[in-house]
Amino acid sequence: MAPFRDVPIQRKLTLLLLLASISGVLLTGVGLAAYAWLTTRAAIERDLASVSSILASNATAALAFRDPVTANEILSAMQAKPELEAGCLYLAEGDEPPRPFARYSTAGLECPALPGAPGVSDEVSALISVQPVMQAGERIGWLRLRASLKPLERAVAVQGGIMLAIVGFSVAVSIGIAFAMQRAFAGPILRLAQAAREVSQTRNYGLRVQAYGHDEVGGLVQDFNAMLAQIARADFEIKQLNRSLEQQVTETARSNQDLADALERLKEAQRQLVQAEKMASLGALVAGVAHEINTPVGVGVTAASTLQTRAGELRSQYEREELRRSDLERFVTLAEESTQIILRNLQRAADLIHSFKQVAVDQSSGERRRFALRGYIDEILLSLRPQLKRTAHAVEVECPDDLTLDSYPGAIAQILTNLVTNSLLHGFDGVERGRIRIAVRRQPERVELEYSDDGRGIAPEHLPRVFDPFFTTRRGVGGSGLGLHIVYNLVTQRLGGSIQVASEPGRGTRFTLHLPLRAQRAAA
Amino acid sequence: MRRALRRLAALAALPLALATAADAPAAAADELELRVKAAFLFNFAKFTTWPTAKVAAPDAPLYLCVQGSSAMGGVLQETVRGRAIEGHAIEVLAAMRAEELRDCHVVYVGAAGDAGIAAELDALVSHGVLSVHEASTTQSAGVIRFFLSDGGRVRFEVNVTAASREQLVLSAKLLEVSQVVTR
Repeated sequence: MAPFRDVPIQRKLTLLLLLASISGVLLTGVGLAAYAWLTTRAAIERDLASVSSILASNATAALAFRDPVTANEILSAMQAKPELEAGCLYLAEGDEPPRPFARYSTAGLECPALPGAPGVSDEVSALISVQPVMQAGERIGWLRLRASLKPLERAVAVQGGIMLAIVGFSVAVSIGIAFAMQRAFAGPILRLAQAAREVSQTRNYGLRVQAYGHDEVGGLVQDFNAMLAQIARADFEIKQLNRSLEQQVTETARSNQDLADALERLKEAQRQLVQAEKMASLGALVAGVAHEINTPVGVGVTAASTLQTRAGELRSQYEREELRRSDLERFVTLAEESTQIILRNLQRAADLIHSFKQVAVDQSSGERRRFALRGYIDEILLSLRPQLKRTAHAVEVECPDDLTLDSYPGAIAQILTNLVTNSLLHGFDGVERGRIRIAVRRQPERVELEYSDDGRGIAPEHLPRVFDPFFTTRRGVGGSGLGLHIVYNLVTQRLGGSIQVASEPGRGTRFTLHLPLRAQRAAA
Repeated sequence: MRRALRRLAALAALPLALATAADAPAAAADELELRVKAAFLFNFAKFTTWPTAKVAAPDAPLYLCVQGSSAMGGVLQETVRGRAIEGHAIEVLAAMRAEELRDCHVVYVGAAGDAGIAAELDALVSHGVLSVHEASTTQSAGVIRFFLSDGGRVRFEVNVTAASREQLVLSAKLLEVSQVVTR
């Protein structure tokens, strides 16, 4: 047999109704029968006791004076109560054993030889009452009465029969009701189950179940429908979300591509900018060279033209034969002085051109070679003279003379150029007499180059970003934001070194560079 | 009284001994009749209420007296042995003088001959005594008279006039099982 939970609801309902009606009828019937039995039996018992008392009292004289006729007459009064089946009177005076004395019986019942124990006792379908017959405080006999319980049993049996009939009737009614209610109960539930199955198979969330009432099942149907609606909505939202997600993914991929392209363009622009910066500093260098050479060349031109003028004067004096000895001596002296001046200035111009050429070649070619750092720094500073000369700022260099590097002098030139330019442009903005100090110390396998100025310094919030590309506080005033970025790249990539910056607003800025004595060959 | 009692005890054994020695069936019938009568005498006392003057206290003894029948004395003695009536002890007395009989509650006049019986009964009148006798005639002053029914059973008649004269209250139940006469 299947467990109760697997039994169809319809049968459960039938069973429930059956159990409820049967147990109700049974309990009521049993209760009523028990009550009737107990009360009727108690009434019979009471009747028995009172009849027994009356008879015993009435029978005293008949017993005492051995008058069975009277005794029988007294006992026959029992016929007023049909349930009293039999009565036996026993004579037992003093110590005598009881012996039957008188008898009343409706159904030919014999009296037992002895009355039995006093009190009320049960027999089959009967109650037996045995009581002493007392006279003047003395027992003179016994009275034994027998009350039939058959009418009571019959009544209870009839009641039981009626009850069984009612049970049968209510079973029939229950089954009828169950079948009638089955449609009302199971119908909607079955429809609901059918719908749930269909929905789970077809995923058709647009399906709706019709509710026929407003009871719990009706509420369940409504909830089910609401749930379906929610699922449908959620399903729709999920699909939409999916679509928009796919779209977003596509867009993201596209924008990623755009970003990559932009980054590529930016890098290209950066390269171009770096190149432009390089060219700009080269341009500045050229300007400086021109300016620097202008002076000795100008001096030389002046001296040469003075000499030319004096030589012309000397020729005309000679042709007029007015040339005096003193004139010739003065001219020779002038010629000597002039050629000295011219030579000195030409030499200076040649020197300048040489060093400029070296710096320019280094910067543009990126050539690697051995060079003395001290001299090279001086040459770089020489190329920066045009910019420094217009100001009252001073540059100090402290560097061992015999320190040579096997590295990229162009990179170092650009680094120092950029740092100095930065100091002039930013550090000494509004500063009258600034001091720049370049201190180089030899360390094992490397040099430490400390570049410092005593300018305005860098604000702490800007300090971490000074090496970032395009970071500038002077955009639009000439700052490209690439100077220190180029410095950083040259130090770390070209020279294979490191650079730190320390600054305090109002107290100047200090860059500390560590450069290997021999740059790594792989660096490009 | 005590003396009389002792005398009775001596007498009691005699008729029993005689009875067993005599013709057996006749003696047995007589013996049974005697016993029934003795029981009845005791029972009469149960169904009777004496005037208060006759019963001094709730636990005063009731005197059952036998006159003129030594056999009855013994049987009665035996019948009442160990029994009491509502707290009253029972004492059986026999062979007493007429004056003494007046104090008894029940007097059985067993003398032979109606004349003798009547004389004895007359002597007890107006003393509150339940007198019981066996005279053949109903014309006497006695309250209760034994007789034998047609079936040979011991029955009795109650003279209610005599009973009220003696200020005795007899139970209706007693009257129910007796023949009632008035004279």
